[in-house]
Amino acid sequence: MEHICMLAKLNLTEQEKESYARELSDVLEAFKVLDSIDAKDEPAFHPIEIKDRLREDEVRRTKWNPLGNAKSVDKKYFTGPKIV
Amino acid sequence: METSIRKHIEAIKNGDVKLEEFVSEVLERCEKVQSKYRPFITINKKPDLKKSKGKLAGIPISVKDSICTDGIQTTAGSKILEGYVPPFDATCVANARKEGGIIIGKTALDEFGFGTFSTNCAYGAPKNPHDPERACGGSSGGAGCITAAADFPHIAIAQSTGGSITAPAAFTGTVGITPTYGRVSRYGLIDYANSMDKIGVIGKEVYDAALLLSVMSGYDPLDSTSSEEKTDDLTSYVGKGIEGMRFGIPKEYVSDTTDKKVVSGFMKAVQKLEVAGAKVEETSLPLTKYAVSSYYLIAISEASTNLAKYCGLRYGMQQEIVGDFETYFSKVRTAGFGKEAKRRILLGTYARMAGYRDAYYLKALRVRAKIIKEFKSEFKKFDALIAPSMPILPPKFSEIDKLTPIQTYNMDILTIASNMAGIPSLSVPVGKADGLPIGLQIMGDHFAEGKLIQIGSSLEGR
Repeated sequence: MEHICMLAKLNLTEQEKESYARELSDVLEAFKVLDSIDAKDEPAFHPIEIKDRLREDEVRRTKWNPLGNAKSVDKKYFTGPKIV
Repeated sequence: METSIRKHIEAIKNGDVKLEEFVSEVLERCEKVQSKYRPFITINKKPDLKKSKGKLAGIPISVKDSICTDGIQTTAGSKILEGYVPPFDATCVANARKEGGIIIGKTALDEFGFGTFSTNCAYGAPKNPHDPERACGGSSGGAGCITAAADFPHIAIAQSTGGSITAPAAFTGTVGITPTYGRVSRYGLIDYANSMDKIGVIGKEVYDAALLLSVMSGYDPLDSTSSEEKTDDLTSYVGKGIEGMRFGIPKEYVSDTTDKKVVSGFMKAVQKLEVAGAKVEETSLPLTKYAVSSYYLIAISEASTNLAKYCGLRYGMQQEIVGDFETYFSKVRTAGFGKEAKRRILLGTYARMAGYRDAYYLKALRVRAKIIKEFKSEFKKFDALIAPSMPILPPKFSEIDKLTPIQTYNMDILTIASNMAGIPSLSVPVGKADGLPIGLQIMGDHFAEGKLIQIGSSLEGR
């Protein structure tokens, strides 16, 4: 659970971890039904056939301000916590 | 005020409706419904009335709050997006506005669509207009709620990943259409699970759902998964009759796990289909027992990936920036996501971990391929499959509180397989038991929405 929380970037209390661990065990137990089916089919990543469609890489002007919903900005930039 | 869309359209054409007065009255009524049943997260107090012509001219439209609306807060029912005001319309909303639709508000949902009952709501759960102690169904619960409660003409834009249109339609006694995957552009939809998300409609009548779906459908260069399949005027299928059609009832959908009162109401409607000239037979979908597990594995894997983009810097919830990126990112996610969202992130993270991906995610995708083949094989024999929409009557909030996560997930058993397979389905109200609505769902082959509308409309007024 500690490892999953670290990967999932969630800070949970010990009580929450215990509770989620129990629920996750129940869900994973139910998923075991899939062990009983022999599925060699190609994985269906989409339910219908999807064509690759690539558009021209053109410059387009947008009417909106990309920073319009950000609270922490510096001139033309988002500001955020230190990464390195 | 007239609630029929068809009559309202006539009144508009005849110049009998003064748009500004009409919209002002509708918004007042929305406030009254809101105080009783809470269908909205946001009521749009200043709707744009500039476009007065088109197929939806003068028709009030609500939009599920996981669909972006230019200038109107869009939260997906989550605190992590509180305050986010999109600078653009989703394609489906833009299409509705172009045809004169009036956006009256944003409807409540389970956070990001994660729920069967619309009880995992950061801004309050909508209450069922048939009994306020009961849930509306999820995740498009607000859409079902306002459609059932509206004493004015109205159609709702809703969205389904695993049954989120059929469930609220059934529980609120409304009509819900979940189209084929790709029929409506997903551009501007806040993703739950990309390979299963479909934007659809909830309306009071089949005609209403057909009208709005026709306007929203079609290929969109902004969504590479949208389909180039021709889009008809779906309203032309309303009332065409069903003489000679063949329907299958999957026996797994009317088994002991489906409430007897629901089955009884459903079977009465089946008799009406037979009287209308259809032939109905029992059939079987043996893969049904694998559907819930494979659906949830795909859904949580895609959802936990999608939710990684909410880092609390560019939009939505933003907190005081302290610590490094990892610390800040974890802090915002922990504060912003609700209990069910966290549960699905944890499950999805586990299912995608090195060493488990083949056993869980890829296995589920292989099972989906089998389920699609199973449906395709049925549609060689039948025009459509029919079944109860939900296995239970709308439950009380107090009953939902006692369910474990896996018990809740199992409530999706009748809607999961068709949603995974991306086939269209239409839920229509077919009477009541104990004063509560029962829904019948019609499932058809990919892009057979017209046929479903034909069948669904044959049950109206019977």
